[in-house]
Order: sequence, then C-alpha cells, then structure tokens
Amino acid sequence: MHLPFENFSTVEDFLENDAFRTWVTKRRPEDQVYWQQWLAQYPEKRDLYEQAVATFLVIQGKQVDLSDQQVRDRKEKILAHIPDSFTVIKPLWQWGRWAAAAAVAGLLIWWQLGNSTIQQLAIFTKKVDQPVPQNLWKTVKNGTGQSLVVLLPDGSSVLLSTGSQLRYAKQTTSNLREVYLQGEGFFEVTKNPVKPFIVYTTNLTTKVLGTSFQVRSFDKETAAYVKVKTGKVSVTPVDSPDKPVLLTKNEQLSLETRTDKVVKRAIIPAKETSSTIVDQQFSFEFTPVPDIFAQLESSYNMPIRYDRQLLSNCTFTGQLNDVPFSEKIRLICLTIESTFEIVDNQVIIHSHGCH
Amino acid sequence: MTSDDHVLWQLFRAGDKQALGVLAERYYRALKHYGLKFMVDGAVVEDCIQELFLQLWQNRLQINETESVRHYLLKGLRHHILQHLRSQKRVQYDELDWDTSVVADVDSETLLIRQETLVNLTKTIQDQLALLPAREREALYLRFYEDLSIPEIAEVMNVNRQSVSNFLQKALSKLRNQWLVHAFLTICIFFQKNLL
Repeated sequence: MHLPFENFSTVEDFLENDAFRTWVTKRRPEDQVYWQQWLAQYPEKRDLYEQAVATFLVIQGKQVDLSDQQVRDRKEKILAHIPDSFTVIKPLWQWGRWAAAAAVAGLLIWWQLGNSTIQQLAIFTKKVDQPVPQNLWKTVKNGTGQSLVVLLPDGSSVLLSTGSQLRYAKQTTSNLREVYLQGEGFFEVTKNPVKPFIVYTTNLTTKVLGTSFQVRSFDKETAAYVKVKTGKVSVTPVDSPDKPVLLTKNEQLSLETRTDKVVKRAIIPAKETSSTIVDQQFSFEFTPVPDIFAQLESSYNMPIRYDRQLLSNCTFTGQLNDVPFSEKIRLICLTIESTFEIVDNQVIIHSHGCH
Repeated sequence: MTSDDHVLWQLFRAGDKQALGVLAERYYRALKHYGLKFMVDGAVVEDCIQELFLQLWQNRLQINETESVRHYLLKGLRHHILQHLRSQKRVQYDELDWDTSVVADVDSETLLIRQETLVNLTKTIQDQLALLPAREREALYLRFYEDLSIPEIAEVMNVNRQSVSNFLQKALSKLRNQWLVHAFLTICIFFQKNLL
C-alpha cells in the first residue's frame, strides 16, 4: 500500500501539513490507523514524527475544558445579552441619498410622461413580466451545524454534512441522475440500472447503479475520499478520467489532492462506539419500532412524529442497510400496516398500532 | 474557510441573531483557548468574548464580508483583551504576555509515542519555547495551531506581514537547533547502546 508524506524531512513539514495537524488535534481512530501504518512504513521518520507531535502539543498548550453543553450555555448567554428586536438606524446622510434618488426618479418619470407616449412604459413593463427561465437545478446548502437529510426526486437520500453543499436536478428527465457535491455526504441510492447515479466533486467522480456510500471532498482539505458501505461503485479521479477504480463493500478510495496520489484500501472496522453513518448497521430482529425510529432520527437528524403509545407493541425484523432513508421508513410502515408522509422536513407516521 | 461560515456570516450581517449564535458556539473553544494565552483570568476571557459578540451585533451594518471568520473573531477578541489589560494598566507599549503552560496529561499511547519519550521531548521543547519572546510564540500558535496565513496573522497581531515572517523565522530557527540536538542525542544513545 502506498502512503503519501514520505518526503517529510523536517519537523516543519509535519507542522505545515493539514492531515498531521488534524490528527494531533482531533485524534480520530481512523487517523490513528493511518499514522500507525505510516510509521511502520517509514521507521526512519519516527524521530521526526515524535518531535513534531511534541512541538505541536507545546505550541497548543493547555486545552479548554468545556463540554458541549457548557459551550451551548455560553452561546445562550451571549444571545441573551443581544437585544432581540432591532430597528435599523440608518445614518442621516443615507436618508438624504435616498431622497435624492427618489427625486431623480420622479423627474425621470415626469420627463417620460411628458415627452413620449405611455406606450413606451407599457413595453417596458411587458419585458419585465416575461417568465424567468425555469430553474431546473436545486441547491441545498447546509449551514445548520448538524447533518441534514436531502431527499432527491428519484427517492434516493443524501445525509449532507454541515458546511456542505449539494446541487441536483429537480426533475429526472435525462437518463442520468447527476448531483454535484462540495463537502461531505452519505448517499443511499435507489436501485435503477437504467439510470446511473453520478456524484461529481472537485477531484473525484463516483458512479453507481444503486448502493450506499460516503463521499468527502472539501476544497479546503488535502484529501478526498469515497467509502462504500454496500454494493459497488466506480470512482474516477477528475485528473485521470481513463482510470476508473472499482470499489465494493467496505472499501475506500482516497485521493491526496496535492499530489494526486490514489490509495485504495479496506475500511478498518470501526470501534463499537463509532457513530458515523457509514459504520452503522440497520439490521433488526423483533426490534420495537420506536427504538428503530429513535435510531433513524438521530442518524439522519430528521424528526419522526408518531404516537409512541400506539406503536409500543410494533416490532420490525429485517435489514435496511442499502436502502435510502424514505425507503427505510416505507418498509417499516409496510410491515406495521401504517402510512407516512414527509412534511416540512419531518416524517409523520399514521398508524392504528399493532396487536 | 468553509462555505458554511461564509453563509452564516452573511445571515448575521443581514440581522439573523441565530446565525451569530451558531458562530459563537462553533468558535467558543478556540476563542477561549486563545484568550487564556494572554495570562488573564478565565472569567475575564469569557466577558471579553461576550463583549466581542455584542459589539459585532451592534456594528453589523458596518461589518464587511470576511475571508475567514475564524481570523476575524480572533482578531476581535485580542482587541478586547488588550482593552481590558489597558484599563487594568497591565500593559504598556502593546506588549502582551503569552502563557507557556503545557498540557498536563497527554495520551501518548493514542499518539503512538512512548510516554517517556513524549514527556522528555515536550519538556525540552517547552524550555526552548519559554525563552522566545511572547510575540514569536503567539505567531507560532496562530500559524500552526490556528492555521492562519501570514497576512491573517499580521491583521490579528496588528503588525505588518514582514514582522510576522520574521517572528516565525526566528522562532523556527531556534526550535530547529533544538530538534537537531535531540536527533544528535538519539543517535549517540543508539551508538552507545550498540557499543555496550
């Protein structure tokens, strides 16, 4: 297996590297696996690595010890000090400018009416009334601070990470399903062998027929990747369009964007506590439906409204790993003889309960 | 910067209080971490952060687009802390202190280093860093921990870009000596062990 950064020859090379800094600050298990392999491959660089870690820790210094809840409390306190209702107070000169503009406009209208015919004005308004060309693409920007489910017209779903953006066609008339991603998204694609589903990012293009996988490509980051949870996908680096790489279940392809180095490897099974959706299993055996809904709610960050009392006797058995979000809900509803609708970004379950 | 920050910044400037709240939550730890470096009390830092966001809100109509929200906020906080210190008559000539206390318990195992090695190394580098002027240490922090560019650091620290480059160059060259000494010692120990 090939690992980049073999050219690191000074401590500064490490300190200037985004991946290294991310590793030392966040210490994610997947990064640990990566650096473990790196150290095994370049034992002669261990000394440099150790110095770099120590230097970084010293520069960083004592870390702030605040829980998420404490940070939220501080935020609320800040907001509480900010006046709620506000009036936009414009400096006087701005009013003056508006007044001047209004006066000029008035003069112009007077001139128009006086010198030419009303018809000209009519033509002018007619032009404005012409329909704006229908916008065929929809862009979803997620700035909520949490993941957001995007339901695509073909029934596929995307769990869009915060800070990410997705653009897709409102109607699926063409024989391709194409989406453009900036950032990170977990895709669960409805099976349709006739219409391939394609995800474009800055560096990688991913093509599938129906499966689930995660794509990450933030322009700011130096590595982009595709992780496959179920099924098969084909990934093509934008810079080498003739070299598609086929990935199957539990495989991952990453691309070092500066060097264009492509690495394909197996996904290391994450620890039990892992909460990322790629690692989560949706297999159930006589599981109470409210429990499943609770898991789906938290994984997809999508509220599900239902009568807990009514559904307390309902259970579900089966695996829902490779189906989109709304399909998961549909299959559960099917077995418990219920119906559902999605309104205002929440799921509402209509049920008579189980006996 | 993330496109997301950008969107939130725009919303905030358009009068969305919640958007400012999201940014406050996102950068709270980073701001407090930075603020504490100036050897002021935690409560004072929190007051300064509060003050910073209140002022951002009041001035939102005059505030421009920014390339990086992170650097804008750090710069703002530095200003508020400086104001506080001035009012306490603790600073003159804009010279600020810089804390050098180090992380108490580092999880060396996670970081793939032997505990002993890491403790020794951090100690050596720590001592070296403590000898540097506060400004050089601050520049190192902003460059490598906060990942700011040289022009951004210049704005935050309110000095020109050349000074920032100089701070970094000087600090790094002093550290480089330390790194080399350490590498040399390791080699010596290695040979010694082989000879014995």
